[in-house]
Amino acid sequence: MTDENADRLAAQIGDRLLRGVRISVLAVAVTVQFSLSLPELLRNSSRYAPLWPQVVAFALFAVVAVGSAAFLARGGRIPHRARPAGVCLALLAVAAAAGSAPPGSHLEPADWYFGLAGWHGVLLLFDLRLRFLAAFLGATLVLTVVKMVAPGMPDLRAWAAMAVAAVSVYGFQLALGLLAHGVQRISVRAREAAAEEERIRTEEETAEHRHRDHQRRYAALLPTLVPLLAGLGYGSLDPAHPDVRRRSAHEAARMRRMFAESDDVPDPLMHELQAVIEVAERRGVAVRFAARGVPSTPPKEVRRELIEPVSAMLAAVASDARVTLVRASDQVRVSAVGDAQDHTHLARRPGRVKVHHMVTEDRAWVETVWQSR
Amino acid sequence: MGGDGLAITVTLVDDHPVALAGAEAWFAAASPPIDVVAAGACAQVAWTPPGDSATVVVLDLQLSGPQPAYADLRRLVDDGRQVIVYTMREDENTALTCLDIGAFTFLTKAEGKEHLVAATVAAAHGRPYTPPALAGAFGVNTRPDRPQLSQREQEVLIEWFQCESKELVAERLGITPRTVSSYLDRVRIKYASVGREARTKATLVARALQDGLIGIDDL
Repeated sequence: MTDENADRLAAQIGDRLLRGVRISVLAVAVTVQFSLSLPELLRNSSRYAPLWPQVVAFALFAVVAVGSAAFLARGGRIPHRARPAGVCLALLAVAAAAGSAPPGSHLEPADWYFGLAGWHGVLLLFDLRLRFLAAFLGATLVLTVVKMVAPGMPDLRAWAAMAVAAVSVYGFQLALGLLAHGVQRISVRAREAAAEEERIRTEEETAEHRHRDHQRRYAALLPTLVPLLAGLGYGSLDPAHPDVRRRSAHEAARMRRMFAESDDVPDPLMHELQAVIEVAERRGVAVRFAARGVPSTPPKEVRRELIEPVSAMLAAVASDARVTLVRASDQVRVSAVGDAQDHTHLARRPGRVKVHHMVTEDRAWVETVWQSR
Repeated sequence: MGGDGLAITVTLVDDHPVALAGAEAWFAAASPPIDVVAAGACAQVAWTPPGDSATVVVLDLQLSGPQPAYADLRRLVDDGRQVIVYTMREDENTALTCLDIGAFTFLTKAEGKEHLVAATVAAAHGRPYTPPALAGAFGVNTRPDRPQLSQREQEVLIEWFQCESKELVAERLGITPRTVSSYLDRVRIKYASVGREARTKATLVARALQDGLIGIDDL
C-alpha cells in the first residue's frame, strides 16, 4: 500500500466519523422542531402578535434542516459556501420568532425557537472552529435578550431563570461542538497513524529486500573469494603466481560488477559489463568493446549469468581482448575473445544462459547467449 | 575500374594527418603495393585531379564538423566511385546509412589495420567485403527495408562480429572458413540488391553472378 492509499483510507475514516455526527445532529434538530417546538407553537398560537412571523420562522428552520439533509444525502458534508446562507436563515428565523413572541421578560415554552436555533448552529458549524458556533449561539442569545429587555428591565429572578435556560441549553450544545472537535482530532490522528504505520512497513520491506540482496551477493562471493583471501593471508598462495593473479583479477571483477548492480542507471547490462571491462583495463589489458542493437535489460540473475563467464575470461587474458554485446529482438549475447591460454578456472553452472567456450592455440573465446523469447 | 592485374589506386580523405600517414604506410607495405594517388582533409580531393582517377576512395565520415559527411559520400557514389567508409563511429545506424547511400563497405578505425588493405583490394575487384563492425550492424538490423536473411546467415554475421575470426566462427558452427566467407558475401549481395541504384550495386551483383556466388534465380 502506498502513502497515497493510506491517506485516502484515513480520510475515509475521518469522513465517515464526521458524517455520523452530522446525521445525528440533524436527527436531533428535526426531532426537537417537530416533537417539542411545533406543539408549543400550536398551543400558544393565539398569544403571538402577530402569528405569521412565527410560522415564517418555523418554515425557515425547516428549510435549513431540509437543505442540510439534501447535502448530507449527496456528499456526506455541507459545503462551505452553503453554510453562511444556512446561518443567515437560522438567525433570521430567530429574529422573526423573538420579535413576535408573547411579551414578557422571561423565557417560557412559547419561546420554542430558543433551543431549536442552537441545534441548527451545531449542525451547520460544529466542524469549523469552535468560535463560529460560540458566535452563533451568542447572536441568538443577544436577539433573545433584546426581546426581553424591550418592554423594560427584568428583575433579578427573571435574569437568573434566563441564565439557567441559556447555560443548560447552549452549554450542552457548545459541549457537543467540543465533542465533534474531538472526533475530528481522532480522525486526523487515525490518518497520521495509518501513514506512519505504512511508512514503517515500507521501510521494513526495503531493508529486508536490501538485506536479502546483500546476503545473496555475499553468498555468491564466499565460495571463491574467501579461500583466495585466506590463502593470501596465510601465505599458502603466492601473489606472484600467474594463477593466483588471475584468480584475484577475476574476484576483483566480480566484486566490481556486484557494486555496479546496485547503481541506478538506464542500461544496467551495459553498465555492469563496462565495470568488468574496466577492471581488466586497469590490469593493463587492451579491451576493444563494441555493442550492437537496441538497449534491453534482462533480469538481474540473467545479467549475472551473461557477464560472469566473460568476466572470468577477461581475468585470464594476457594482453588484449575483444568484448561485444549484441541485443537482437529475440536474444542477448555477450562475448569475449582474447589471448588467454588457460581457462580451466571457468566455472560452468546450468542456468538460463547458454555458455560456449572455445580454445585455440593462442586464443580463447567465450560466448553467453540468453534467448529472451 | 581497376580490374584484376592492374595496379590498384586509392584516394584517401581524412582530416587527421596521422590517420593519413598510417593508411599510406599500410598501402605501401601491401603486396603488391597499392598506389595512393591523392590524400587530403577534404572530400574535394577525391573529385579533382589527380584524386578523381583513383579506383577506390577511402572516406573518413567525420570531416571538420559534427555531422557525418553523408553528402560527400552520396556525391562520390553518384559519380560511380567505389567508396570505403572508414570512421571512428561505431554505431550500427551509421553503418546501415552508409550502405543505404551506396558505400562499398563500412570499416571502423578500430579494425582498420587488419581490414583496410583487404577491403581496398576487394573494392577494386568488385568483390563484397563485410568487416565485423558491418556484420554486427547487419545482424541486428530491424529496418523495414532490410533484406530477408536465413537463420544461418544471421548466425554467421553475429559470430563474425563477436570474434573477428573466420576460423573461430567456422569451428563454432562446424563449417569451413570458406563457407563463412561465402555466407558473409551472400548477405552483402542481398543488401546490394535491395539497395539504391548505384554503380557499387551493379558491380557487386555482376561480380557475384560471375563468381557463382549467386544465380540469376536469386535476383
